[in-house]
Amino acid sequence: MILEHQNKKIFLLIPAYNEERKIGQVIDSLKKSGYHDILVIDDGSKDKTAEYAKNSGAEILRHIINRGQGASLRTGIEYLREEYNPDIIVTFDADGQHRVEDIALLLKPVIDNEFDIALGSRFLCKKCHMTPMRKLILKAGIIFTRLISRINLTDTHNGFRALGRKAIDSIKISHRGMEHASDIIDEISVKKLKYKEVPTEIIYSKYSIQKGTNKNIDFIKMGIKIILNKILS
Amino acid sequence: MNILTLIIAIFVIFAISRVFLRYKGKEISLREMIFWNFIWMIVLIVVLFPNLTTNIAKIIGIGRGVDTAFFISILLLFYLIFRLYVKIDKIDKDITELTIQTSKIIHKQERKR
Ligand SMILES: Nc1nc2c(ncn2[C@@H]2O[C@H](COP(=O)(O)OP(=O)(O)O)[C@@H](O)[C@H]2O)c(=O)[nH]1
Ligand SMILES: [Mg+2]
Repeated sequence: MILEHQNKKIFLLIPAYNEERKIGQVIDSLKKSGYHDILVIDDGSKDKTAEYAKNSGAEILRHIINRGQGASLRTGIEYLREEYNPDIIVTFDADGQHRVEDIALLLKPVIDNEFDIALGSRFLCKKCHMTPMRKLILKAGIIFTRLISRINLTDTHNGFRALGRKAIDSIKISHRGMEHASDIIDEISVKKLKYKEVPTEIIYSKYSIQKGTNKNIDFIKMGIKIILNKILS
Repeated sequence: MNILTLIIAIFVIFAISRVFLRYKGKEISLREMIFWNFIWMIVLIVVLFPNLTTNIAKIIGIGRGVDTAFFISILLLFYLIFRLYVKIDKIDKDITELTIQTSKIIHKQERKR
């Protein structure tokens, strides 16, 4: 699948925090599908995430302390720009929730040079199941983003994206945590990037649900943070 | 002078001496030293001369002197909390920047070897 795009430099960027149980598997499955340029940002994990990622053959940068997903993406994007001059960066979760098969779907609109950025959406995906609570919270996030950034998206907090050159060069991530998702949408709006939503599956395993539930409060905190930042800046 | 006034006065003098010590130890700037001592002086004056605050209260129009003191203290607290928020936010951003840049630098050095 990657053979079709041999002339494009495509990198997978994986922010990871305490994912020792999944990271090896995720990298292996990416390699099996032909994605060999994989950069993992180990965000001060307290477990063996870094070690396992390295053993699986990914390139790995380490944050000394945990700074969040937004900061990790910044590290990754800056580093890739400085060292490899990438054409496309695909951001991918370390916990096995994204499907490797969907990467090609995200790449297509960007490779064909039609769009600057492709965004995965689990709400466009008909097969996807999620807990009602999660669904409610994600929907709230969407309405919130719609109000703040005035962009109409079906899924605003999905970490599965493909950034083309223009997006790589122009998007500035200002929040260090999960709120960066809203930054990216803001930037799409401000920098007038051409974007496309692509239905992508999200796998809700026992592992991810157990990790996800205690985060519902965090979503509310995220909202408050974004509003505060809007007011103060 | 009642016991409470005395206790507060002693505490304020203690606080002022701490501010001076921290300034001498270069932990705070001259501006901060002046700012904090100014605050503590006001507290001292309010405590020692309650009549004075009553007069100010009359001029501002908020009834009793103690109320004026509370009113001003709350305003001040809000301001201080805001300043703290801004500072902490700045430090937080700095730490993020440091983390990002060091991770890149360390990795590049390791790659060269
Ligand atoms: N760099 C970094 N990545 C994180 C952090 N927290 C979670 N992640 C990663 O971000 C991805 C998605 O996180 P997850 O907790 O599964 O969020 P959810 O899928 O939206 O519920 C995974 O690859 C995590 O390892 C963090 O503090 N820092
Ligand atoms: Mg997840």
